[in-house]
Amino acid sequence: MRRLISLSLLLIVALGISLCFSGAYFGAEGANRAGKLAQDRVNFGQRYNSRGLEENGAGNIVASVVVNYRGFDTLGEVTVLFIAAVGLAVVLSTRREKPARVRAEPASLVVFTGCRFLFPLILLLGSYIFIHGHLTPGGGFQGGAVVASGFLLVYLGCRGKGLRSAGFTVTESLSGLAFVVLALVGLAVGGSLLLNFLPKGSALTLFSGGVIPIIYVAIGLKVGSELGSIIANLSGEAP
Amino acid sequence: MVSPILLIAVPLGLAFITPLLGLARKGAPRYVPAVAMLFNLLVSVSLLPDALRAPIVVRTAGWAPPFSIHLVAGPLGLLLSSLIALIGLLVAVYGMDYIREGATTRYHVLSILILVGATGVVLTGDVFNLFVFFEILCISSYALVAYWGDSASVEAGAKYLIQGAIGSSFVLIGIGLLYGAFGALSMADIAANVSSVSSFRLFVSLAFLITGFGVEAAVFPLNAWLPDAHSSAPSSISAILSGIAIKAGIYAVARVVYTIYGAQSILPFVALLSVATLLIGEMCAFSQNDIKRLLAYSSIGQMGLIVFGLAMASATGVSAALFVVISHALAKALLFLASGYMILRTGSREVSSLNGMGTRMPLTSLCFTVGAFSLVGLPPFVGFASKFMIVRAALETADTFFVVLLAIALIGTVIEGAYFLRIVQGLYFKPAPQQAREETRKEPPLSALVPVGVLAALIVAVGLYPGLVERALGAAANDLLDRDSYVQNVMGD
Amino acid sequence: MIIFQTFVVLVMIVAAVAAARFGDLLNAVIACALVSLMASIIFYFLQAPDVAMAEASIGAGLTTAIFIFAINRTVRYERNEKTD
Repeated sequence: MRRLISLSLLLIVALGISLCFSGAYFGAEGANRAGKLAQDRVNFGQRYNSRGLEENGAGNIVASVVVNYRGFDTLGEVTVLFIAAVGLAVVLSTRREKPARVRAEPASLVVFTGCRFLFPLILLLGSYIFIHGHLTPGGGFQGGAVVASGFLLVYLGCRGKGLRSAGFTVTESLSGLAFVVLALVGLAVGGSLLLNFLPKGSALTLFSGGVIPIIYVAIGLKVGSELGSIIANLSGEAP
Repeated sequence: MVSPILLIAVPLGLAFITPLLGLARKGAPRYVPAVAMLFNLLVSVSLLPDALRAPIVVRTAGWAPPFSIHLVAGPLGLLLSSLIALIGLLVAVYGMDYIREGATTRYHVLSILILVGATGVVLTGDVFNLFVFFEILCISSYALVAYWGDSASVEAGAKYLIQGAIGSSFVLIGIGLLYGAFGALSMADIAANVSSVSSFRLFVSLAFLITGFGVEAAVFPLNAWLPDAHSSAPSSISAILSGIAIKAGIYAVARVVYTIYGAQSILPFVALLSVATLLIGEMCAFSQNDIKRLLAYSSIGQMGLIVFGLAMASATGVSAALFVVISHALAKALLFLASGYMILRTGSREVSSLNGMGTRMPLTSLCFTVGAFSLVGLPPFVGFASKFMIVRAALETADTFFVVLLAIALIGTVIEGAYFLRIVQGLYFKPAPQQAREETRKEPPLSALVPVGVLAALIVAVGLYPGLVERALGAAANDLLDRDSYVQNVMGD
Repeated sequence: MIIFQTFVVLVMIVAAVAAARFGDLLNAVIACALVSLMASIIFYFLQAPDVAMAEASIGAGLTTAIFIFAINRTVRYERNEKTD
């Protein structure tokens, strides 16, 4: 029976593919337009590279692509991460019956002190990455991930400290809100979401790039707190 | 004039602050989805007349279309986003009281986001953006399917997650191939240049995209996840999944096939698949004893009908398919919502446990019956009008192929009639089981009765006056079929 | 240069196959991390330092940790399919 079904499936697919190729031509109606449009097709990379700095004032063109030209995608991606964190919390919070097999063995003094010493430095590195995202490689996602790895270290080394999930929730909500509100201000000021409405500043200095660094900081905080809350949830210390 | 982008930005912002509201006041989050969807409903309905005249192209970040992401709020997009907001609003009202256990705040956050994802899918004009919103839709539904947290729903969620993730990777590969071939992500830009690339490269990317989106759209070989996922989710989420999520998948397939590729030559294959989907869905539904699984399989059957209409590629066919989208969304949401409280009261998902409900929960049963009759396609209801339009469209093509497929599809409808009438017969003409619980005599609270009642009223109203939606349907079908004007609208000249 | 890149890609392929074959999930996770690490090196050579950073910190770092948490909460060894 199973073999019969899979055989017939294969037959259907083969039939489909042959059908497709028998009359394989696409976009018949578009053909007349194509000739006209094909000439003025633009190379996006070149266009962004040559005009990105003047249009957005961010030295790192990738940052202006991520936050400005394709900023709407970034908003969506931040949301995807948010959903992952929330969804994980949903699934884990309903399965409380089996407590995580965590043996609360305190870390040795060396590890404990080392973690406490490294944690602020990691946070500093992470914030550096997302604050300078418009100047150097890196940005909100990368910086946020580094920040979250700091929280991971706290969990691994200083288990007694515990990770407060309320703090994550507040940071996550506020930075997400900041992103949306900044985007909406662009809509209100210039009629288009995510418009870079602030003065661009002089290129390659910290205060340049209009809203890009501000949004990057919001993304960094949001990603950091989302990944942090995922770690807190998985480590079983969240309420 | 309000910008259609608010349909996405505002609910997204509300979803972000909902956890904060939950910390401040325990009861506050449950009102947020209703507020967000009310806003969306008002905005989409107020924009619809404008969009019927000419699609509204919204740019982001201030750059003209090919250089940044843009939304295309055409008749089809706004029609579907109004439908999403309507169903979403009713489900949100229903969910206020229905969801009492578990992580309620997170439920409400995810239930906004699943709707934001669907709205984004139908409005966007950029392939990668389509993928991003598709992910928002899918990932929030994975989590919501597992919401109850018992082993059945976690298993269903995991199954859905795995199949959905494979589908999403296929979509991503397809988009990567497209980007490699065209160096562009704007649908209109790609559509304008589509004939400049060899058809083999196009075919490979098309196959990846259709397979990937097909998983969410539950087209025949790719729908193994659906019965589990739709039946294990909370009933309010089942209503969204069946009413909206799979429609978003089918929208994505249709947009890709019609607008981006203009690939009419694969449609006969799609038509074959659709009829297979329909027959398999209906036959599986017929043999089900679990009411929610039955409804889930019946959704598969209806998806087959929708795809069948779309595959005809005629104006009537596509508008008939869109009409079925509307009628199925209304009816299936109604059935899931109504059965939600029946299951809650009887404590069982067996079809036989619904026996005698007609006297115990008369209002709910009445609405359930309306939904069931509409799905079967009985005359005064919207299901009849939509199915009739499919029949008309298939006969209009005057193509033996489609007429034969139509005949097979009608057999599926007969099967559908058989099992729904069996349930309705049980509701009214069979005695309640001996050990029926006393609380089965209680009607659900007002927050559930109102959405169910509104859905039933809409089914009757649109069924009696199909003219209410017909104009929008025609324009929406045109939006999907007319590639040249789509490209023209977006790219300007 | 091309030799080095070929080597990196080969390591990626071997690690990916190994990740699929390992019965011990912990080993599989480490192999996955190796794939990500190598991918990040490739990204760096393809002049995408931003992506390389993201891949290294998320793919090789956090994902591995999350997988290990998940293994800690479930089981470490794949069950033999025949015993199901």
